[in-house]
Amino acid sequence: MLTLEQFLISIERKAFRIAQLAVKNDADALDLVQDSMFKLAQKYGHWQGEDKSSEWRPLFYRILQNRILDFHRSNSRHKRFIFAMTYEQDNDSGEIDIQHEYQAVEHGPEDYAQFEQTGANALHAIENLPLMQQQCFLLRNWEGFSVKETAKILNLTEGSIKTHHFRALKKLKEQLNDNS
Amino acid sequence: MTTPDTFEQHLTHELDNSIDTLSPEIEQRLAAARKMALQASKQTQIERPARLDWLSKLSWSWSKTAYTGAFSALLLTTMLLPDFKSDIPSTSDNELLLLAQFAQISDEEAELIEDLQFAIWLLDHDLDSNSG
Repeated sequence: MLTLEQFLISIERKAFRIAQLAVKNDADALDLVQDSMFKLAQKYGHWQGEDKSSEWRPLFYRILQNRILDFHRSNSRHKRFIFAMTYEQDNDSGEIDIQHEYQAVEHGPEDYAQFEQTGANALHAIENLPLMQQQCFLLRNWEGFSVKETAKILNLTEGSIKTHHFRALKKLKEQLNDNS
Repeated sequence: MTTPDTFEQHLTHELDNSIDTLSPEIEQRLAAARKMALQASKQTQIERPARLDWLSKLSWSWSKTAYTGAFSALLLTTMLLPDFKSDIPSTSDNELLLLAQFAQISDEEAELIEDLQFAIWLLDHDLDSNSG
């Protein structure tokens, strides 16, 4: 069982990078991470030493995601509009055949050589993803959350998570291939 | 979950690298945020038992008031009950039985009684007209 301090140390860097990719600004990302840590400690800090402390991780990311969404909502009228448009475009055809689409992005061994050149651009490509696709990719691939956990953290359906994740991977591949 | 392919592994590797090279300013701000959060947690844990104690005291004082109120109401009812009884008009057992039976009559039964009363009236009427 982790203490609250050990837990915060274990997630703070990743949390910062996730927030920074979402808001594209170091200072705002630090504020969001600080708010999320504070909220978690205040509300759930007393779980220290209990079995429940294993729930800190999904709870922390849920708080962080809410902060990120609030940031985008309140940032500016213009940005809010753009965000909504991106979100809607991202959501409009959630009924696609996920399995079929997943098969469509399978890569052959010859494709991987070119990915080596894309290291410097990888972060930039992730940063350029629409917010929900980006967060789905980060939570699923980097943080290793399941579809169900990611759906709970982002307050979306499991189907939407699969769609966003698939689209994120597809876009990343397209962007990184174009850049290489 | 489908196993991540090399492309996905490459991306996560890049992400891992990116957090190993954070600037000292960012590291300091993160450490400060963590300390603040831990301080908040400690503060909450200090306040929490005090708040629980205060709540239990409050609930005891509320329940004490409720018990006192209930006891007073019971005492008052017991004292006033003989007067209430004297106000109720006395009814015989037959009247009570009739009232009870009346209370049990349903709508359908009421209609049936009306039909019967009408049939009796018709019969009487016919008998009267025949005799007249």
